This record gives sequence, structure tokens and C-alpha cells, in this order.
Amino acid sequence: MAEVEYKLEKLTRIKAVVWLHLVRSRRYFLDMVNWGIVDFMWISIYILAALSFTPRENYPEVVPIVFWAMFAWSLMSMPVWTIGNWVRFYVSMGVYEENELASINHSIFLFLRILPALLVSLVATASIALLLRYVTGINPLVAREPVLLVASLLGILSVATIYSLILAYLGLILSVPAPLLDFASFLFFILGGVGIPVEKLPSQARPIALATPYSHFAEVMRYSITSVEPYLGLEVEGVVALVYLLVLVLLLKIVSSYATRKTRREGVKGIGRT
Amino acid sequence: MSLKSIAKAELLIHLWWLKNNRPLLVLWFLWPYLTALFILALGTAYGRIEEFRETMGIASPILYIFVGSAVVFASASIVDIATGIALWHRWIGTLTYIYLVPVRFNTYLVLSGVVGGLFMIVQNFAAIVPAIIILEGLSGGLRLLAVLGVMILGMVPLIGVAVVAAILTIAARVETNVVSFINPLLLLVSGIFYPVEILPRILRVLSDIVPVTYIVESAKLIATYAYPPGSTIVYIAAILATMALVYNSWSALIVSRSERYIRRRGTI
Repeated sequence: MAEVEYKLEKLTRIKAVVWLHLVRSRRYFLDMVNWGIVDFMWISIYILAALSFTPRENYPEVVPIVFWAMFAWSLMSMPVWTIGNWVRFYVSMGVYEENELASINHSIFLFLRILPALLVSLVATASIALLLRYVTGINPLVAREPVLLVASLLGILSVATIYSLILAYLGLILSVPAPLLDFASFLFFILGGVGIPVEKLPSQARPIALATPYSHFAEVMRYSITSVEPYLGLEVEGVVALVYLLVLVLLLKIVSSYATRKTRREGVKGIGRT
Repeated sequence: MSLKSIAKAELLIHLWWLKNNRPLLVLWFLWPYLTALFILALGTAYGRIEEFRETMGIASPILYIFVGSAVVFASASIVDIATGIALWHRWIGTLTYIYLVPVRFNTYLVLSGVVGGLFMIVQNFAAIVPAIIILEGLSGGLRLLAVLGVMILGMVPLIGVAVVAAILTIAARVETNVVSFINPLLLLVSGIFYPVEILPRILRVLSDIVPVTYIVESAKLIATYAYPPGSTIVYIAAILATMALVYNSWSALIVSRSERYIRRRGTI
């Protein structure tokens, strides 16, 4: 009975956190709209830039791949800002200490920020699909294996979210804002096999790509759009991707425990300029 | 309190902030290279550099992509800087004190934006100088100076827009920069890495009336000619000067009214 009550209380806390993030999104509605427009525009600029290199006759094949690759990048970078960078406000607003006193798990609190962010990302991506359809005449929202496509994108989002939570805790430990620590996700996109298939990378860059968790989900994503076989084969890519995910969860556990112990011992320091 | 001392103080803020955040300085120097690498890698993975050369109508595509990457980060930074400064003062609780200084708030915003914008432009161009000199030699470096000049001129029409954006953000009682879409919008319609003709009609119309389009045109000139035609540069300069006159006259009207509005409402 006590165990059931404990679980119910835990669920209520999660509900309260979801409610708080949603209320906050309503309070900052203009910010959300601006954020969606900014996302739409930056991604459009990069996609249209990439298509300037492509002969028009190759559009039917290239447009969907570039579109989904950029969506994957959006999923990679969005949590860095909404979770990794937001920890600055979490600390400066004094919510960190409040949650600490109320025994609310910081990882869950920060993780649930993903809900409004995902909504913005989806709306922005749908708008980009419309623009691309207008500009190229090709519908980019096509996939040979839609279920596999969704699974691979969820995998990329999971890796990015865990990575951002790690950045957030590193921010707490080092007082350095996450975007400064996020130098890697830009390189991951280019050298990590997200934007470019591992097969097409220079041979020296392939081991780097295979060593990153994103490349395996990205290979599965490309397979679900076209019929190009993943670099290591579908089954192996899937297994390696899941192993990476587990390793990241473990790493998050270690970093979060260290950061929580440190802040309980020494107090919380401000992060960055604000 | 002279205008010179405010400008000097703003410059020192930027310098000292960078001095205390050296990793940020390194990253800022790397961003134009990362952007160029990003576009080149993504583009050549699915297409050809010759196609880009043809589509954009330029002779040196790699040189253009480097200059374009610097333009991406600096061309309209004045808007983000002026708005960011106003919000930053609100966050740290100093906005009221800034209002109480003898210099008018608008003047302070203009000076902050101009100094910050110039800082950003020089910093981004300094970052790409090594790449340009390797690709095009000393003549490339000199041609880059011409784009730098056009870019500084292109900042002038945006001064009024920057102040209006900053004041509107304060008037909207928000804590974040809700007009940060202005910068990517200006870049999107400028056709920086693609021809403007592919955009929807409404964006093409907008493209003709934003200063960034003409900065992009000047970047195309230096990526095409060893000696860019002087008449075209003068034409671009004349358009930007006209825009500066028209936009700043309009925004001056809006600025004085909106400043009165936020003083009356006490939204600072």
C-alpha cells in the first residue's frame, strides 16, 4: 500500500512538472512563436544552400535525404538549448534549490522541457516541408519504412536529450554554459555521419563517425528513406545504437550524481554571464 | 557624459567580456569556418561545387562560401545586440539606472548596437582573413576590405530597426528576445547561399528592400572579379545610403513614440 502511494505521489510530481512547463510555454507564447520562426528560417537557409550544389534532376532523391538529415540536426541541437542552456535560468531563478528541497528529480524536471520544444520543432519542420515543396516541387515527407524512420529519429532525440542533460550537469560543475560545451554537435553532423552517409565520408573520418552514437541512428534513418544499406548492416547498426544509448544513460547517472553531490556540499554557482 | 565615453565603455565591455571568456573568443573565430565546412560538406555530399558556381553565378565558390559565412554572423548582428543589451539590463536589474543617466535611452541603444555591431563585423572578418589570403592571396584580402566597407555601410539602415526592436521587446514585457527572427529573416531573403529567384514571391519582394541583399551582392562581386567594377560598388553604396535615410527617418518617429509609451506605462 505504501509503495502504491509512493508511486502515485511520484506521478503527481511528474504531472506538476509537465503542467509547469506547459503553463510557462503559454506565458512565453511570443517566445515560442519566435523560436519556431527562427528554427524554420535557419534550417531553410542551410537546406536551400545544400540544394544549390545539386542538379535539379537529382532533387527527387536528394531533397528527402537532406530534409530528414536537417530535421535530425534540429533534434540534435534543440535539447542543447532547451535543456543544456536552460539550466542557467533554472539556477538563476532559484528553482534548482526549490526542487532540491521538494525532492524533485532535476533530470526529470529538465527532461520534460522537451515537450514544448518538440512541439515548436515539429511545427517548424512542417513549414520547411511546405517551403521545400514550393521551391523544388518535391514532397520531402516520404519514407520507404515510416516506422523505422520514426524509431531512428526517436533514437537521435534520445541521444541528444541525454547528451544535453550531461551538458547541463557539466554546466553546474564547471559554470560554463552548454552552447559553449556543445561545439561537438556541429562536428557530429559533419564528421559524425548524420548529414553525410558514413560511406561517403573520407576513409580517415569513418572511424570517428562510427565512434559517435548519432551515426548509427542516422544510417538507419537514411535506410528508411532510400534503399541504401547501412554501413554496418541494419541489424548491427541497430544493436550498436542501443548499446551507445545504454552507455550514455550510465554516463548521465555518473555525472548527475557527482553534480548533485557537489552542489549539495558546496551550493549552486551561477552559470555564464547571467 | 559624452557620447564618446559611452561608446568607449561599450567597447571595453566587449573586450573585457572576451578577455574573461577566452574559450568563447576561440569559438567565435571558429564559427565562420564551421559554417563554411558545414555548407561545403553537405552540399558536395549530394551535389557538385561546379553546380553551386553555376547556380550562384560566381567564379570562386569556396571564397564566396567563406565570405558568406562571415556575413551570416555579422551582417544583421546590430539588431540582436541592441535588443540583447536592453534585455540584459532588465535581467540584471540595471535598466532603470540606464534610464536615469543624462544620455537618452535611444542614444544609448544606438551606441551599444553600433559598437557591438562593428565589433562583430570586424571579429568575423578578422576570422576569415587567413582563409581568404590562402585562397586568393593579398589581392583577396584587399577585396575583402571592400566587402567590409559595404557591410559597415549596410549596418547603418538597420540602426533604427535595432532600436525599434529593442524598445518593442521591452514594451512587450517579455524576458527573452522575441524579435530574434529578424536576423535569420534578413539572411533568408538575401539569398546568401542560393538564388533569390527560387523563393516565394513575397520573400522576393522583401529581398529587394533589405540591406543584407546588397551586402551579399558585394560578396558575390569579390568572389567573381579580381577588380570588382567600381560603378556597381557605387550603385550598391547609393542604395544602402538611401535605405539608411528612409529607414532611420521612419524608425525615429516610432522610437520617440514608443519610448514615451514605455515611460508612461512603467514597463522598464
